[in-house]
Amino acid sequence: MKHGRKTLLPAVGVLLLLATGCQNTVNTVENADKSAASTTIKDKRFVTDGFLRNRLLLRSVRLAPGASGNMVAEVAATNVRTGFFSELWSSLTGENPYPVDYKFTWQNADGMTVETPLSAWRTVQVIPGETVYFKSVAPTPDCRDFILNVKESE
Amino acid sequence: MKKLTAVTAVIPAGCAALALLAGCATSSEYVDASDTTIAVKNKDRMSSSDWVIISQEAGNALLSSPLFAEYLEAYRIDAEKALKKAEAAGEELSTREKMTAMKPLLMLSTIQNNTSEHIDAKLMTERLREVLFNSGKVRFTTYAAGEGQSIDAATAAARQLQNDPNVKKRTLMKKGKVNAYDLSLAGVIIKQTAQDGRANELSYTFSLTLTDNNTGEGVWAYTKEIKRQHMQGGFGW
Repeated sequence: MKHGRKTLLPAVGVLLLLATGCQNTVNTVENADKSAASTTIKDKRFVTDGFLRNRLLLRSVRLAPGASGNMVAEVAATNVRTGFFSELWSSLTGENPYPVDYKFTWQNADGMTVETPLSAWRTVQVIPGETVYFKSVAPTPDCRDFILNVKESE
Repeated sequence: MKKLTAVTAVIPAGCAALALLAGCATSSEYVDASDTTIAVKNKDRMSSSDWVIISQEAGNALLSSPLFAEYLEAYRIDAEKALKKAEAAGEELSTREKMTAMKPLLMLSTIQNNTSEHIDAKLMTERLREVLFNSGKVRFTTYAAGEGQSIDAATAAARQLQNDPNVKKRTLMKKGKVNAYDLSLAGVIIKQTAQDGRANELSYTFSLTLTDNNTGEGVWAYTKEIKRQHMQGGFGW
């Protein structure tokens, strides 16, 4: 019994060390002093999926006029499910990388949504630790507001 | 006892029959055509979702391109000068022409198909034209088009009505009124496949160019690759 415990505990420790070393997450490096003008805006969120909210952290929402005069929206989100147990669970449930569907809808000056081929549901795979950028250009110059729908892929 | 046996045999048999019938029934329902996440994708050729994706990506890139915006601004300045000159020379300009002359006229040119598939590139070019036109950046012509694109013969046919005595002369289309195009959208589609054991990969590269037909110069260029992978099952084909 003593022999068993003496070999079992170190073996488990080695296995855990090996497992933590096998993580495939994303590290990022960027310049700390940003020179770009701030185009971050206040956002309003309506959350019906708490799991998605906790897993894909929305970092920033930007809205600025593009070169052609049409507004450009960009939302940055990071997959924060890093760490050994989180990744192990994600791998077991088929969510590593994390597949997410998104769609932009633009509203004109009257608040009406505008139908456009630029508005389509798309899928993106997000690696743990990775930041993805959901981006869209307004279909007409009078579209100033947008709604971004995000959901977990089936 | 006999009744019980009949009941215990009929009910399960009936349930089994219902289950079989339900499995054999076919159902048809409408789905969102622009939803690329639920679209059925072909393993070895273009799918409808590929066209939705390339139209969306190319449309976004075009509308946010600073070089295309530069061309539009230069065109607007030149068009304003030309319009003033024409008015000063006594040329008769329609209201529509005065309203839209600041925007270049787009023609859909040939999208070369460098694949072994039959591809109708109109599935992309018509969407891009809709995006550009609805953005208010360009006008478009249906009088001229490249190979594989749609031409509306009605403009030319309207001029033939001059020979029809039933048509009111005042409403006839005059000759020399069709506008020549300024911009053309052309491109090429290239297909590549790869296979490694049961892993298969299919990719389409779209290369699009907008050309200023006055000078022959390109004013926008865009390349996008759409790649799909699938793993062949262990059994079957």
